[in-house]
Amino acid sequence: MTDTAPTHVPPPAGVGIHVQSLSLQVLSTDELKLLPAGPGKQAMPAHSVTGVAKQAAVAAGTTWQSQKNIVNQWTINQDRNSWIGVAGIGWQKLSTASDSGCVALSMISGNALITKASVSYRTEADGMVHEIYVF
Amino acid sequence: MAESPLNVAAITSRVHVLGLKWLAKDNELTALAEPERHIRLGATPPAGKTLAEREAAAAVQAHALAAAGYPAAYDARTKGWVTPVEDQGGCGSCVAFGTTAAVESAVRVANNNPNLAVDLSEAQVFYCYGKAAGATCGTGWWPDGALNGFKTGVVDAACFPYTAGDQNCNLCGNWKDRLTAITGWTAITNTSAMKTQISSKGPVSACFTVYNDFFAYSTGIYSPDVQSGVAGGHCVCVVGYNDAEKYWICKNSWGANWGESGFFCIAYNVCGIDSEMWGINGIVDTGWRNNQVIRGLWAIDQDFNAWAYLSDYGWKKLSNNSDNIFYDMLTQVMAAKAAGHAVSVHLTNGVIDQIYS
Repeated sequence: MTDTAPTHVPPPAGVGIHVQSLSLQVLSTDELKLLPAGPGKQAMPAHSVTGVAKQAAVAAGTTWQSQKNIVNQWTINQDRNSWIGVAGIGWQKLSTASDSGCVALSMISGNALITKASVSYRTEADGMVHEIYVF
Repeated sequence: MAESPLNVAAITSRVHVLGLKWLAKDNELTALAEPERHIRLGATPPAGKTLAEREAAAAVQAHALAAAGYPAAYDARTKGWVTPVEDQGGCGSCVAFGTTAAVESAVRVANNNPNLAVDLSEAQVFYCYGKAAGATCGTGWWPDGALNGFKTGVVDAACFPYTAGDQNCNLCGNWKDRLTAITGWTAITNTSAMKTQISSKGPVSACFTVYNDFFAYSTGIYSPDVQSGVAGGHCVCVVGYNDAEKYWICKNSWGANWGESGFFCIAYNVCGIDSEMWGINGIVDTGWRNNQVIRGLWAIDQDFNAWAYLSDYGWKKLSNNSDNIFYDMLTQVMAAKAAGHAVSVHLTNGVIDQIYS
C-alpha cells in the first residue's frame, strides 16, 4: 500500500476550542441505529458524550469535521473496536482497517483528549474515522 | 579607466551620456584601492569557456518573454526565501557566497518555511572544499566545485564562522552532526529553465564579468559602460527576474550597504549573467533538528503511518522499522506535545528515527 501523507498544517499557536468535561446520557434506540457496527457486529458505546449533541447521522461519503474536541473515548475487549466521543457530534468509531492504524488513531485521540487540543478528522460512508489531525 | 579610488563622478557622467538605467554612488568599495576592490572578484571559470566567451554567448541568449510555465516576474525576497546579505570582505570567495545563498534559500523552500533560521558556513565551502581544490582568496573558484562540496555537506556558520583571508579548515568538534547536504545540482543554460528553477525551486547561482563601473552601482537596472574596463569575474545568487523590464534580481555579497541593500538588478543578456546558472535539485532531509515544538499529530488507518508536525520543519513521518519503534516514537511525540516540551529529533531522509524530549 502506498503510504499517505498529511496535507493540512496546524493553526497558529493558541487557536482551538477547549471544552470542559461533559455528562453522559443514554443514547436512544434510534440514535444507536446510527452507529457503525464494524466486523462481526461488534459492541458499541451506549451513552452519548454530551447532554446537548445527539448522535450524528452517517454521511453518505467522505466528510471532514474540523475544529472539534474529543471529550470521551470508549473501548472494549474486542479487536479493533475503539471509539472517540466528539463534542457536538457524538460517538465515532475508529477505522478497523489495520491493527497499527487503529492503535495510532486511538493514541493521538487520547492525546487530544488529555490536552484538549482541537482535532480535524475524516469519516467515510462506513461511519468510521479514517484519519485524524491533532493540533 | 580603473582608478584608486574610483571616480564616481566620471562614472555618473558616462551613465548619463549612455542613457543607462542605473545610478552610481560613492560607497565603501569605490573608496578602496584597486587591488582591494578586485580581490572580491573570485569567479574563475575552468578551461573551456572564458568569461569573455560566456559574455558573448549571453549577449545572444533568447528570452521567451511572458512564456508559459513560469511567472513573468518573480522575486524570491517577497516569499521570504532569501537569507540576509553577507559580506565576503577582502577575499575572492564570492563563489562560496553565491552558492551558499542559493542552498540556504533551497532549505527554506524545501521546508516551506520562510522564517527558518538557516545560515550555512561559507568558510567551510571556501577554506575546506575550496582549499582542497586549490582555491585561494587570490585565485577564486567556480560554482561546480562548491556545489559538489554541498553534496557532501556543509555545517552551519556557527560551527566555522567566516572571516576573510586564507586559513585552515577549522570545523567545530561535532561538525558531522551539523551538516546540510543537497541531493544534487544542475547547470542551466536555457533562460526559460533558469526562470522556472528560480520561481519553483528557489534562487540559483550565477557568475558574470564585472566592469569597473559596477562597483559604484547604487540602484536601477545595471548594464555596463564597457569603456570602464573589465575588472574580473564575480559570482552571486540570482533571486528573481522581470520579463517586462528585462532584468535579473541578484543578491551580492558585498554587505547590505552596497547597491539596493545588498542587491542589484542587471539587464538580460549583459556581462554573461545569463550564460549559465546553477540550480539546487533538492535538500537531503537528514540530520538533527533541534529545539522543535510538536505542533501537530496525524494518523490514518494504514499500517504504521503516523506523522508529527515540527514547528520549523513541518510534517515528518515516524520511523516504522518495527512495531515497537513505531509505537515508542508515537508515544514520545504525544508526550512531548502534551507536556509542551521542545524536542530534538534526528531525521534520515525525512523520517524521524531518534528523539530527545
